[in-house]
Formats: sequence, structure tokens, C-alpha cells
Amino acid sequence: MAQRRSFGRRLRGEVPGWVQEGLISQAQGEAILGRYVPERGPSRQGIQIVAIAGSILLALGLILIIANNWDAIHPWAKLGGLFAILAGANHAGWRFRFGEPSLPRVGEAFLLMGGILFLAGIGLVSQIYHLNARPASGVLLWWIGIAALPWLARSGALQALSTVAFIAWVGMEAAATDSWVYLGTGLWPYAAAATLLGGVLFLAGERERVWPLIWSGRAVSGLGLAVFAGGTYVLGFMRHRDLFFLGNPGRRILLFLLLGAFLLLLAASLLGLGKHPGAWGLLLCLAANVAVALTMGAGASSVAQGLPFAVFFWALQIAFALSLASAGVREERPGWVNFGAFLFAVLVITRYFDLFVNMLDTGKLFVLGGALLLGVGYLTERKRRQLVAGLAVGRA
Amino acid sequence: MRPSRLFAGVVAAQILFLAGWAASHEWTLRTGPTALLETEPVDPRDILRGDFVILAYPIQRVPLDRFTLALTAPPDPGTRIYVELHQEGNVHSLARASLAPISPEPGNLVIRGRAAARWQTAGSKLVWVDYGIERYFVPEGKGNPRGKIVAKVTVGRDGQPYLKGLLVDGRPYP
Repeated sequence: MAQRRSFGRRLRGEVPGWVQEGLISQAQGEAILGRYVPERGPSRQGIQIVAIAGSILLALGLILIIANNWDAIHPWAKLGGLFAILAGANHAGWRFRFGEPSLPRVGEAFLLMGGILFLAGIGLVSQIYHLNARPASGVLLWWIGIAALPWLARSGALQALSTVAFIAWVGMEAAATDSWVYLGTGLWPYAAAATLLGGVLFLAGERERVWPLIWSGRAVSGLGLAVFAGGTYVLGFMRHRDLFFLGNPGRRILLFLLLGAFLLLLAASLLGLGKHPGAWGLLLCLAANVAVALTMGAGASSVAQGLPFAVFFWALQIAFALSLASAGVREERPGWVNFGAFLFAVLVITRYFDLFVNMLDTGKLFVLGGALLLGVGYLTERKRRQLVAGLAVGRA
Repeated sequence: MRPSRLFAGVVAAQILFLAGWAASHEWTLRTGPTALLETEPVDPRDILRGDFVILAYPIQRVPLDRFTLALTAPPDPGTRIYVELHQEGNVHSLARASLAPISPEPGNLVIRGRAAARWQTAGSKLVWVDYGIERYFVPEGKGNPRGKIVAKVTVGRDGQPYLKGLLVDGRPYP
């Protein structure tokens, strides 16, 4: 993002000079500025964050008003009111995004509110009629209902919401005892499924043009990275590692399905790496993490509970964080650099507390932990800034 | 078709779906046969978790020998189960169960549910059935109902039960 601002500022400074020197016409200058400078500046980002926060607060507030006056409002009035707000939010969102007055960020926030209100509608009908048989089906319904909207409204925020709905549905389905993809009561299969699901979303998002219903690949791949990191983070813990393998085993169909999708997407991504040599390390590291996560539970729980296996996994996780930052530099993706640096710092600090919590008394643990936190935070932030600044210079 | 029309169509479909869904339940509640089901205390500390009452019913425990084709082991969790209820006094109780749809005796009702994983251990002689009527949503802060709770349930044409209301010591709650 920093490089975009820098590029925009440079263009604003340079273009008038080019026009004055007769290199380009006034109209061409305006066209160039119109093409590049209106990209998200800090104020536009601020507007979007405030507008999205406002839309979420408004939606939550309306839900709470209904909840607090449950008795006083007739069920049909509750539903009618919700339908009116749902239609109004979507109408306002479309008008602001594509019509006049043109306020695309505010429009996107209203569209996001519309997407959340559809879930609220499902919840409202369920509460009025006391339906609670299958919450996972309600979330699936939500995802289906909003899946096409990001593409129609060309909205990254709606794409993120739709992806969150999909992730929530897969998670709830995996935890439902009556589901055909039920993963059991142990922790390991869920964490392994998260690494696979995250990998699938990341790879699918990076190949956005393949999928007609993925409008913003960045939203999908970014959330995929977060889910992947969450799964590997959980599996890296040394303490209470035995809990991962306790409980009743479930079916493993979801793991096989996700593994198949992951391998297909990985193969496609590796084959298409001609233009993206910097992504090689990242993809191979991603695959190695997934392979180790799956191996941990595949009938080798006693091996997986041992320290050498855990150390190997930690090394892979840190290698992934570094390769993500490195690929971010090569592919000019500041988001990857930032996330890689964040992941690295979190992994180092977690391992410290994970390993030493029983070896040191509380005072020493906290003093050393605080020092480590400050040191890693300082070094990571410094390196991250250098990398992102390098990107800005490289592009400008 | 223009994207704006497609977008409007999707939003209209969302609203129509929600309205139709609510209407179908409203229709069932108004026209379907009604049964009163006894409930059991789940755990006094947990009976109202958040803003809903947790309900457990004696008809949730179905002995294996009450199935029309007697089972030797509980079915897998999630298996569809049909349960015939007959009236005893003013409440309905378990008559028989089946893994396939059954026609009720005159005056009886058939409701459907799914086998749950709860309380199922090796050698268990019971099937725990969830009917989707185990939570009754109440207004915020309406407290913990005390007394004998009876659930008023309407049965849809497909056997799906719907909670119509609760009676606490014979009076509507809340």
C-alpha cells in the first residue's frame, strides 16, 4: 500500500512537468492521473474502515433492538422490518457504489450490511419458529444466498464476507455429529483440515480468473492464509499435545476432499509458475506444512507427540513465514510481507512460552518473555519496514 | 441481463426465500395437528442458557426393542428416525419407532428426528433422538422457568415437529 501512495504522490508531482515540457497533452496528463492516482489513498481507506464499522454497528444495533423488544413487536412486523432494511441496505449500497452521488466505499459498506442482514433474517425466522435442528445448514443457506453478490456488485468486502460464510459452514459441518464430513472429537483433524482449507482458499484466490464466482482473489487468498496459519499454529503446540489425539474419531471424508482439491490446485499453481518464480518457495513450503500436518495424525500419534516431530514442524512453520515475506518482496505483495513478519514474531514468542512455561518461575518467565516480545517486535517491525520500503522504491 | 437487475433479483430471492420459509412454518403451526409433550429437567443451572430454554423429552430416549424391526445396536448419528406417538391422558408418549416412514394408528401421530451421538456407548440399548425442538427462544431476561414444563408441538405433514409454545404448570410461558 505504501508503494501505491508513493507512486501516486510522484505522479501528481511529475505529470504537470511533463505537460509543461510538451511530452504529453493536458488531456493525457489528466487521463494518467485519473488512471493511477485515485487508487486508495489514506483518506479513502479511512472512509471505508469507518463506513464498514458503521454498517456492522448499524446491523448489530437493529438486531439488538429487535431482541430487546421481542415481546412488543409482532413476528410479522419483525420480519417486515427486516425485509425493508435488507432491501434498503442493498439499494443504498448499489446506488452509492455505481450511481450518483458516487461514494463507492460507503456503497460497499451498505452492501456488506445487506449481506449480514440476510444472515440476521435466517436467525430471526429460526428464533420466531424455534428452529435449531441444524445450525450448519443455516450458515450454508447464508453462503448460498450471498455467494453471487461479490461478482454482481464487484465488491471485495462482500467477497470477504462470502468467504467467511464458506469457512464458517465448513467448520460447523465438520463439527456436526450428524454430518457426513464429521471429524470427531479430537483436535488434530480440525487443525489439519484448517491447514488444508486455508491452502485451498489461498491457491484458489491466487488463481482468481479461473473461477467465475471469485470477484476478488485477494480477499479469498488472504483469508485462506489466515485459516492456514491458524491450523498450523494450533498443531505446533508442545503442551497438552496428547489432547490432539483424544476423543472419538470421526469420518475423514472432509480431509480427503480437501486434500484432493489442495493437490489439484497446487499442481496447477506449480505448472503456472513461469511468470511467478518467487512463489516457488512459498508453494513448496505450504505443501510441506500440509503434508506434516496430515502425517501427524495418520496413525502415528505416538511419533507425532514427540519433541523431534514438533521441532521439525516449528522449523517448517518459521520457514513458511519467511518464505511468505520473501515471496511478498519478489511478487510485490506488501500484504504477504506484513503477514509473514507478523507470523514469524507470533511463532517465536509462542514457542518461548510453550517450552519454558514450566521451566521458569513466573517472574523470570514474564521478564524474559517481555524482553523477547520487545526484541522480536522491534527486529521484525524494522525488517518489515525495510522490505515494504524496498517494494515502494522498486515500483516507483 | 444487466448486473443491476441480476443483483436486484438475488436480493429479491433472499427476501422471498425468508418470507416463504416463515410462511410455511406459520401455515404448519396454524393447521397441523398438535401434541403436548412432557419435558424433563436437563440441568437446573443450565436450563436457560442465554436466551433460550433447553428442553429434553422422555421420547428422546428410544429403546432398541421399540423399533418395528428390532435393532441390535444404535444406528449411526444422523440417521433419520420416525417415532409414533400415542396419547396418554393429555400428553403424547412413545409408541414405537422405525428407520423407515411409518403410517400411524388412528389417533396417533408420527414425528421424525435424527439419531444423536449423545449418551451412546458400546452396548447401549437406547437411541437418543434429536427432533429439533430442544430449544425454546424466550425474550431477553425472562428468567428461569420453574415448575412442570410441557411443550406444545405442531407436527408438519412430513413429520417434522415445531415448537408452538410452552406451558409451565399449565400456564403459557413466558
